[in-house]
Amino acid sequence: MPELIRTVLIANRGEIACRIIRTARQLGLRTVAVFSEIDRAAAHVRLADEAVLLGPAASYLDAEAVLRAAKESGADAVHPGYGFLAEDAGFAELVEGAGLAFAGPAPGHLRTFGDKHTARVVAVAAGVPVFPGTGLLADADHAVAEVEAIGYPVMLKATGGGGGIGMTVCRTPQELRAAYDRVTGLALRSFGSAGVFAERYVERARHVEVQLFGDGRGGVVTLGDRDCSLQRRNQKVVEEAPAPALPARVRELLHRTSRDLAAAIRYRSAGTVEFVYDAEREEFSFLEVNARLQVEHPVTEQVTGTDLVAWMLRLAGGDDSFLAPYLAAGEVPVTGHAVEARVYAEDPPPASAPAPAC
Amino acid sequence: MLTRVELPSGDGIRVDGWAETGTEVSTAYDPMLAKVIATGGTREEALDRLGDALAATRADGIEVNLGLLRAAIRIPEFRAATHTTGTLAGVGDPEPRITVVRSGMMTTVQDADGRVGYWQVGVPPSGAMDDRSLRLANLALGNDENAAGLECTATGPSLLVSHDTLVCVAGAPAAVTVDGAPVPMWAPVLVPAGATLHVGDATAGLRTYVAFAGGLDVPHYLGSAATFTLGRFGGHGGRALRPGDVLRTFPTSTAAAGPVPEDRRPRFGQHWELGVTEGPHAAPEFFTRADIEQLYATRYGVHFNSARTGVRLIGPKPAWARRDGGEAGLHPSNIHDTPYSVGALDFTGDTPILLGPDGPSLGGFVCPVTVVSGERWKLGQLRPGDTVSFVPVRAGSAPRRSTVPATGGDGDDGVLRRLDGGDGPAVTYRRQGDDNVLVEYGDQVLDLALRARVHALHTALAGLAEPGVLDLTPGIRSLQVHVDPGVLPVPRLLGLLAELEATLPRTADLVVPSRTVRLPLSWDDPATREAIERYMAGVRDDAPWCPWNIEFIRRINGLGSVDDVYRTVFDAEYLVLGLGDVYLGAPVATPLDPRHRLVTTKYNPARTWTAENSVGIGGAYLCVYGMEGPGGYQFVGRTTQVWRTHPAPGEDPWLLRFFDRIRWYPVTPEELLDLRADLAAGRTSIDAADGSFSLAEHERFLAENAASIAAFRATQAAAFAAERRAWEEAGEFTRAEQAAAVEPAPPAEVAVPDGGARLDAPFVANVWKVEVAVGDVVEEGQTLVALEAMKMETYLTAPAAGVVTDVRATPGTQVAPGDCLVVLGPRA
Repeated sequence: MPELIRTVLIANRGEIACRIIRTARQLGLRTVAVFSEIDRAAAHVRLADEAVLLGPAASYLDAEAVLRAAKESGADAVHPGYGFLAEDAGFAELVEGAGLAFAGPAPGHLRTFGDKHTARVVAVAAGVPVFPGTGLLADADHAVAEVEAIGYPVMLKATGGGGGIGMTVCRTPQELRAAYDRVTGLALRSFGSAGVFAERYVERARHVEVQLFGDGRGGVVTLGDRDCSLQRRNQKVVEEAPAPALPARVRELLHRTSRDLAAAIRYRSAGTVEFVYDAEREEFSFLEVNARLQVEHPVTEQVTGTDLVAWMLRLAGGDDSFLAPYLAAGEVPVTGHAVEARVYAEDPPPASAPAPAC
Repeated sequence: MLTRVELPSGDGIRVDGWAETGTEVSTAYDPMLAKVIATGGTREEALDRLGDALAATRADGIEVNLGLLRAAIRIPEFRAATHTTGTLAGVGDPEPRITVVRSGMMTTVQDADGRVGYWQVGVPPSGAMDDRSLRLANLALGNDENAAGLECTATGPSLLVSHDTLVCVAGAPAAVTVDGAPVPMWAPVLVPAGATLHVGDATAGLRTYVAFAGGLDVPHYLGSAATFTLGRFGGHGGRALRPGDVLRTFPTSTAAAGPVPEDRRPRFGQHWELGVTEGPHAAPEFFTRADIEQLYATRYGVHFNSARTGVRLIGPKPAWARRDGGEAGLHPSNIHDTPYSVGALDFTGDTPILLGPDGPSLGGFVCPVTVVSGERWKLGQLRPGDTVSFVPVRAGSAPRRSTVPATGGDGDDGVLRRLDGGDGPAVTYRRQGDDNVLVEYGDQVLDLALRARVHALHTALAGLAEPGVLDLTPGIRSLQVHVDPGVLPVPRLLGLLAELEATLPRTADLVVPSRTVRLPLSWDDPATREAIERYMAGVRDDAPWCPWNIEFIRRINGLGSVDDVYRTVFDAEYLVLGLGDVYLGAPVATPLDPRHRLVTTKYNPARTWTAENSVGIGGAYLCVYGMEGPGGYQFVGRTTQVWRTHPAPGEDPWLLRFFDRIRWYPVTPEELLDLRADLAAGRTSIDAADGSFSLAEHERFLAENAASIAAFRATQAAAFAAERRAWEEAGEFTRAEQAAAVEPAPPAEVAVPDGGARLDAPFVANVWKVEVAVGDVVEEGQTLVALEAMKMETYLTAPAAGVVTDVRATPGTQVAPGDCLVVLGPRA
């Protein structure tokens, strides 16, 4: 571990905070946890060398409070985990502006990929395959006219969306008109932006994604791929690496175009390019880039023998020597197979609401 | 709260998680608890390993998606890698489940035996209050009689089963249906997949039980599935069931045994005869002989404010053999804290309470008689408004769980034996039911030499590991020995105790391991001020200890200023004499130096709310409240936890031990909150240093300071006497009688319009809220009135749609069963 960072603040909670603390300690770093009032007794608070109270439940989203905790605890790096502030370009800027290392992508990357529409523009420019889609749709009439060229069914999406919120399948012009107002309204309320667009919808789709890691100077390696098709209500439930039943030609193309995309913007740290895969046509289409560590990253670690959190922390400390063995080939070799199941505190049918605290 | 988390391990298994047993899962965040990751050489191997790992994964207390995960990785499409993002859409949890549709008034998971062996640290047995009915229901199904089932109070639940489920409903008679069709009680009944079992209102008795073939699969806490709601542990989530809860049963291959024979089913009426033995504290020492005669002759009424902790009775006031409790308090019911038995008739002042399975382990009140173990099931069926009479029986003739012991009593006033003691203190062996012996040393005084003697006996008896001994629970000057009389009969136990007594070292030679424990004290903490404010707003604002307990402590002890109270508390070293006063490892302690012993009286009536870990003084004792709840000690501040329900592996939930010496150090309220959080998070534990306590040294200290101690006591006694006179003048001692003298008015005739309906009180209760007024149009099932009884709120709903034509219920008044509360007319 280079001398540049000694103390890392983990701006997260739950399993990912515990997981990051584990690796940080292996690297000999001092760890600082942050916690909300209701997390006083949480596991990550106990595991860290030091813990700082942020405030009420929502304060993991309070960029100023997290940065204050980082400064007061003497941290010289921040790992954001996933969720909360992980993809908040403003937070990454604050951290870097304060002279601390942000163990994640550069703020500009977060901004580019934080908007699905600009992400798609960058992806197309880099040669990543996309199913036919529209630009931003001004109104319902415009939507119907644009979709004529693509053909039904289409998926209507919010440009600022995430987690499947506001995504609606439309099979006829009538359905598209009906969905337009609803999705724009939902998008405005949920993401503060009413922008929507449509793209071809694959009835029998698989969700396939490519893990990559960039040095921030144009060097990028892929670490194989994953299949995350088993989902409930657009939430991943079971993930595996590598993605099964993927023709070699398709896999090679997925990896190469993902690398090209990341290299084109000199991507830094861990990231994932997500695709919709049409197994019948053996075609895939760019979905989005998740500019962060992902929940399902362990399956990739298991089949590549890497520790992605260690890579993120080492890069934040100015060390990218771990990439050297792989840069020529552009990829980390994959052996074996790994599957992950997410245990959720929620009741599947008949009642599906999250289990309440008690 | 996650009451149990079991995560897999082994070859190729990685778990990234954060949730563990005891974790509170908040709805404020992403609901993911853990990721189970399996790795193999091939996809097949990885999936097989994941299947095994998920089979070994458990999470209890909240609903999780494990059933769905186990099903998902077996889907043929997924195994063949032809799955899509739509594959999981129609998949649910295929594993058998019982879903709580309606929870009933208070439905808890209980087993019959309860949680035995932790009485000495204040963990009550809990378990089915009518264990007999639950045992019979289990036996009818071919279950072990201790299998976990449901206890329903007054109103039962509606339970939807996903698979064919064999049940047996027993206990208080109620209308039981499966999808609306009546089914019998006391017999195995098949509830088919997709059907709903409904348990209606108890029509006599109070508690109905539902047993399930195989028994309910809930985590054991301290050896039992029983729910202790006050302590928030055991059963399902440590609480009463709520709609949406999911229960599971153990798989079973045992065949049902068939209906409970008619002659074994208890009979349910409105009057109950309880077989009791004399003792531990009867006539002529504590009660007059006439009091005891009156006790046997009286039909006591069951008060509406009864619960699993105890059943309060309404009856005559005893004359009492003593004028007061001496050193232990102003009321003749007061004694130095002593271990209680479940089933004891406890006189808290003049109010008799039958102690239930969730009752306290220690207390400072006398109990003249104790319900024998075979009759305690009846306590669970005492319904507010029922009557009770006590029948004296002979302890030796009361086999456990029998109903026909020989009557007449033992005629020994509850005293089994007395030893004059020789070199040591005198010993009195008292009877507590047919399954406890209470060993008392010396006179009715607080004397550390007596407590040390108790400790010596406790240690010696524990060292014997005699089969049949279930609990050893020390009090201030007594040791309770709880036995299974079938294994260790009481006469043999008495012989054993007398033999041991002769082997104990001379009291003056006793040296006991004793840690010095430094605990933070937030003096006059805001949480204690809040409790006083709540008391003044809700109970009484004219009490001598209002508005500030510390000032009351100053006055009653004859101290110059509240700073003197502060100095006294912080200078003192408190010796822990008992644990579990009240509940869950809460210490009762007394200052080693008599000049630090501030005396007070307890709240009367008691507080209804006390913050967890408040520190109070009552009599000469200091107590830390182990959990939130009622209380009576005078507050000085608040400290850190003395109990952790889910401690680190290898640690006990209770943090203090007998003969620990507590020293306080001052902290601010904010510092206390941080310390409490750190302790809750397991980041710190208590600050304890090993040492020992020598009685000889202590006696030497007392002798050297005798003059100063006597002077302190004289000042204190004078101030106490002055306070007592002031109370007499203010009528403080006759308050309870005046309050009890108000009789409810006789009910008037109520006319119900044709096509209308009336809502009646189901049992004796206090009217809490009336939610409708004359003229309101109501729907069937709409809440009309909320009652408060058995320390719970009950919401009564409209039996039919209609228009309110009359409202008879008035908030704050008491109602009896059958009293009309609301009259509904037909809708126009």
